[in-house]
Amino acid sequence: MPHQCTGCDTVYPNGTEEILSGCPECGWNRFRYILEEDGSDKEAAEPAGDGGGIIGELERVHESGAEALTLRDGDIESVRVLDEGSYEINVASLLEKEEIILSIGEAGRYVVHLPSAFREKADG
Amino acid sequence: MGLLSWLKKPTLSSWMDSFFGKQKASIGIYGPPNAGKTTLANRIVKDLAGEEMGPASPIPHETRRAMKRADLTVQSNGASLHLDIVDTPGIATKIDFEEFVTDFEMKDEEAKDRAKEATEGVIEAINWINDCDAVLLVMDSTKDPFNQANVTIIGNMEARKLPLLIVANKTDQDGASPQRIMDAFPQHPVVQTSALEGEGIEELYESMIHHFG
Repeated sequence: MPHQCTGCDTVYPNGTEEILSGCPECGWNRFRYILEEDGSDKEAAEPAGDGGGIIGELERVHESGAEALTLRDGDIESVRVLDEGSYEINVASLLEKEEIILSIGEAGRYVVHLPSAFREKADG
Repeated sequence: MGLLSWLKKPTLSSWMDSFFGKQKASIGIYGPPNAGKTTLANRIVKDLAGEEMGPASPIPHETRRAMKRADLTVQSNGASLHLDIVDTPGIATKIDFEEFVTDFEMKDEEAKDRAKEATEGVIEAINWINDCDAVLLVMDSTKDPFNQANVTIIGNMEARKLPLLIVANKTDQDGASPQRIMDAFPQHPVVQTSALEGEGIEELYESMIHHFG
């Protein structure tokens, strides 16, 4: 994989001495890989667990008329939806528990994200 | 000591092995919204790879998905360092679309979508902690650092025994007080930076070696 000097953009083939000794053009010592396809390996990170889209997913479950759930002792809601576009987030719960519980609107209505809840049980 | 001399240190090649037990470390950039996380990520990636990571903006919650820049490589005199940098969405305890409407003149629908994405971003950011080997916790030096999110994050990382370096950012701004951050969290190392102006970045590299190594 060729390398490009980040100082002057000169490109060197993979394995050449200049990459170790520094760029002879500008004296810089930092290089980046040149990828063959798009020139960058920057990427949108794949969620490490369930993350993106969970709120929308749980809100859709709630809107579908799913039955309200009763929380077990010790369950703590992860996110409270106060109103459309207004959220309170329990950072400690998210950090400590795999299970994601969404509280919507009136007190006592909750939606549990099942994949995260089952993962907790599987891991536990 | 500059980056070049840091790279030439004989301990460099053993840093990853000795601390992380592997040759490539995943460094997560965490912090509250608008602390300068993406600006710092851009500065680091620009320095090491010659390109930027993602757009930074004065509007909070601009970053609503985690972004990873994989396989950053620095090579010098036969030594090499491999890092993944993960820039994460800001962690907040309350997100209200009206902030975007009143402060940034967004339309209601756009602001509500942004608030929902930002909330999902918090969950995504926290999920990424499990994949990080060390964390740079970025704080805005002009703001009170002693808030629920910062205290909770630090407490959790201490429990996980995750190496943590606090970055007191925005030191170029009026009213910046890195000392306030040092006083709030005296048990952790604090590095002062202005990611925007490029100040303190080499000291940040040195501190990463000193405190993580």
